[in-house]
Order: sequence, then structure tokens, then C-alpha cells
Amino acid sequence: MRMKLWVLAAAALIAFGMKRHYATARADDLRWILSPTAHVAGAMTGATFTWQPREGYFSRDRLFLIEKSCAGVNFMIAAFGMLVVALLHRVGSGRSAARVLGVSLLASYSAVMLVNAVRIAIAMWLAAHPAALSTFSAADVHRIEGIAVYFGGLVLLYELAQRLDRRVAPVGQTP
Amino acid sequence: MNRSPRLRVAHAFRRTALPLASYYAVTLAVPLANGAARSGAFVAHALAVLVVPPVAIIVACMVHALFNQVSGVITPVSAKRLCSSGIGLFSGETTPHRPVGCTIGRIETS
Repeated sequence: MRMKLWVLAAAALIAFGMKRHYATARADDLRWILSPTAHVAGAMTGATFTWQPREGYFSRDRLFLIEKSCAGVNFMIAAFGMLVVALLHRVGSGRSAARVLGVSLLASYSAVMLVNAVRIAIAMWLAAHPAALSTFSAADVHRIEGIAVYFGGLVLLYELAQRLDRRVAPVGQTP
Repeated sequence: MNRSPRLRVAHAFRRTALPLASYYAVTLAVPLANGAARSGAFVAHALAVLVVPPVAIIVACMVHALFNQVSGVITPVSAKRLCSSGIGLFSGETTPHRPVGCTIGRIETS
């Protein structure tokens, strides 16, 4: 129980650190997340994103900028916290605690790249087809699409984590 | 709304409770704690954040129910496997003939 509390405290500290970093960061400071996102989004859409200092990754042919607000750091924090809570029952020792935190961090980083790239690909498609949802403004469509994709991504990540968690050895039988 | 769709939606909400809670915590609770409530832009954004996920869950349940009706025979899901998760579709120990929850990604069609 005490170890679980330590893990929760460590997770809260990591999430706070990410949030602080994101609040003060410029686009240049977020290349660790913008760069892989731009590469995955480029592979999905066929667009070429080039780095623009202090702005982000820009696609000239699609006129689309992946900037700081597109980084998905909030999604990563939500995914990280969710995975830590979902895997908390596996924490028993210091080693398993470090494993849960590490796996959650890696999985949330991988998920943010994929989900963000999907969100950007859909946003680019919606931008190219503005008449598809003409009752909403472009900003509203972008907002609703972002919320739906991020939340859907969280649900899928949670389902995947639950499925994998059931497949590996039950708690107490891990080597 | 009859009992079955209501149950389906309730199960879906129970199943997505943790993702929903973590999403709300990051997108609503943290900005509110930082005093974002004074901003009009945040209020509009918060409204969308509050409404879209539950609507998405309900729409997903409806689409899934329609898909079930259209696709015909569905083999019963392994109730044992679902129950073992603790947040699965079935809280009891009986094996239902048809899944009652929103079972995205868990139904094995024959």
C-alpha cells in the first residue's frame, strides 16, 4: 500500500513536471514530441512537414502548421496518469513500481504520437473539405474533432492496456 | 429508452470511467485550479470538453447496437475473461447469451 502511494506521488510529480515544461516551452523546446508527430502525420497523409524555428512543423503544400498547441502534451499527461492508475495493482516492490512508471511513460509517449498524428490527418482532411460540416465553424469542427480523437485514443489505449495486462502473468507470479 | 439500451450505455460509461476521469482531470480540473474559469474562451471550450465525450460514448453504443442487429449471429463473449477484469461488461458470474454492454473490440463474430 505504501509503495502504491509512492508511485501515485511520483506519477503526480512527473505529470506536474510535464505540465510546467509545456506551460513555459516554446515550439523549439517541444521538438521531442513535435518531430515524431510530424513524421507520423507525414507518413499518414503524404504531406511533407519542414521545421520552422520558433513555429513548428509546416506543410507548404497543405498550408498546415503543427505548432505548440498541437503537441498533445495534455493528452500524454492524461494517458500517463490513466495507465499508472490502471496498472497500480501490479506495484508490489520498488522494481515493479519503476516498471509501472516506465511502461506508462513509454506507452503514453508512443500513444501521443499516434493519436496526435491521426488527429492531424483528420484535421487536414476536414480543412480540405470544409463543406462536410457546414453548420459548425472551422474552429468548432477542429475543437470537436480534437476532443473526440483524444478521448477515443484514451479509451483505446485503456482497452489495450487492460487486454495486455490480462495476458501477462497475474500479480504475484511475475518473476 | 428501454432497459437494454440503458444498461448498455451504463456499462459503457462504467467501462470508460477511468479514461473519462483522466481526460476531465487534465482538460478541466487542472485549468480550473489555475484560475482559467475567468476566461470566456475557456468556458466555451470546457462546455465542448464536457459534452463531446459522453455523446461519443452514446453514439458508439448506438452504432454498436445497430451493428449487432445487422451482423446477425454473435458468439457469446467469454464472460469469465470479461469478469476477471473487474470493469468488464458483466458484474455477475452468470454467462449471458448475448452481451449486454457496449462491447467494442471484444465480440468474436463467427
